[in-house]
Amino acid sequence: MSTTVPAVARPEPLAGGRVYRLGGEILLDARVSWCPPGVRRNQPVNAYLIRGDGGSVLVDAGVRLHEVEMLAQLGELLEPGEPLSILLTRTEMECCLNIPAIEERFTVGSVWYTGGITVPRSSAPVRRVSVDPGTSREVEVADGLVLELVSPLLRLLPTLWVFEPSSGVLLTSDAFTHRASPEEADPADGLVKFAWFANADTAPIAADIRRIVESREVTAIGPGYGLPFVGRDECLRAAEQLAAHLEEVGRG
Amino acid sequence: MEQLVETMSSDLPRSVADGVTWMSSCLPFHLADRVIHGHNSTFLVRGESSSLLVDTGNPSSWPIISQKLDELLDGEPLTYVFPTHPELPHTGNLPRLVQKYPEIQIVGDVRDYHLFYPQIEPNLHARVPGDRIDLGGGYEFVVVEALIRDLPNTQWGFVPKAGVLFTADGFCYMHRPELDDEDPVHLPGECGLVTTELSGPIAVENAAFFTGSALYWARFCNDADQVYDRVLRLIDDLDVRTVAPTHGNVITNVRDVEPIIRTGHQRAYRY
Repeated sequence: MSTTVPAVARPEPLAGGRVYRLGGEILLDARVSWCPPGVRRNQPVNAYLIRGDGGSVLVDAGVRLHEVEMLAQLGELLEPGEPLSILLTRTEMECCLNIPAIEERFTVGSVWYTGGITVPRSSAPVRRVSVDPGTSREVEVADGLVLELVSPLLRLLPTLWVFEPSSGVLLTSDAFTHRASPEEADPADGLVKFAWFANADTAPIAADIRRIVESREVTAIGPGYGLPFVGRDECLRAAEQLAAHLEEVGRG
Repeated sequence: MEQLVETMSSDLPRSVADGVTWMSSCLPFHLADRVIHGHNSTFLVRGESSSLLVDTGNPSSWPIISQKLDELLDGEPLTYVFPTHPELPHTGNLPRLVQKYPEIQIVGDVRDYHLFYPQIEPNLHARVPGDRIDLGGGYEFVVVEALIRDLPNTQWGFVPKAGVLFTADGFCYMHRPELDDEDPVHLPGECGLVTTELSGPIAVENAAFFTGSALYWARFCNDADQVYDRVLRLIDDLDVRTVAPTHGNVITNVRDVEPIIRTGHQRAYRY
């Protein structure tokens, strides 16, 4: 298919292998709603697997276009019969559509989600979790695997960011999606879907981003699209650049 | 607390305007002392030669929607589907619609759908605001810019002959007792009523809650008057007589309801 480009062949470890980045690449062009004007390049669309001692947690399930890649990558990482929980950062389409296929192949114990009454199709028990915007809470998503679920102010729809404390990996869903290459990361490129910022008081949102990253020992930022930011200094720099850009584009 | 099985009211489908039929499968929530519902509506527009479905309903509602389409179309294939934006209640049945009607044209802002449902890519046909789709017999469907939206690839639609404006997540509202959800809900018995048939007016707080939750940006944008002044101009320009939101009762007295929705939007700021 013309829209398909070579996918990530192997799951990519983050933070020493506690967290793996899964998924594949898309052609980021005018047929993608989050594409910056005039851009045409490849972009990773990411899901993440957090490994625990008693099971693993899959954070988002990838786009349907990458169903084959997702199943292959999970098959490489998971032991046969290993318990798997799925945690959705949003109930938007790019996060949940592979759940049925994953359930067919793996032992999915529960599907965690936030937001409204639309539950992603799942035969596993669904667990709804509410976190007030601007706050966080710790949840044992799988046996012995406690994650901090952060409800950011930067969002369109109900959204969770996921902080894995032992590795310091912060998974940021549809934020921090602007890194195109190791050398290229313009915060504006990740804010196309948040056009409302131009008419908003963005100061509280910017402050929330700084607070989330600075108050935790964040060692890597894993976005839903785009390349991750790795290393404490790089994460702090990315947060500051994103926050500063938000202040600039908003009227606040 | 919740029993997540979608049902369609026995009052539905019903005609709400010339050529426009309203279907809605509701999610009932069983609380300790009562049951409340949330609309997930779809609308069938029929001309003399073609038909168009506005939004697809949730995947869990597919059996009843498929059955009602068979009855309403009398065995004829559905010609078009117009998903207002890519969220499950609006687009979740696209693959099944393509399977059921292989020649169907999916029209609208179809960005992203090739990633979400690669198998329907041949059926995608991009449309922009101002585009008109001829359904025959003087019935047209006009693509309209979405003036209230969450996702950027949202569009509204209008059927001039019927005077119906389809507003997706705009003009939605809810009854919200002791729930922590973010979707519109309403009491049983109201499922198939239009607003002029309801026992009372929509409560401002219910509009405010929907706006503050589903249209999250309203918490940070103090622009309700700007937004709804534009909406009123659109309503005047198009001569809108009925507003059909996906989540909420069909609005047949938009001049009465608009100030309530506007006030709710204003209250959502700093909510």
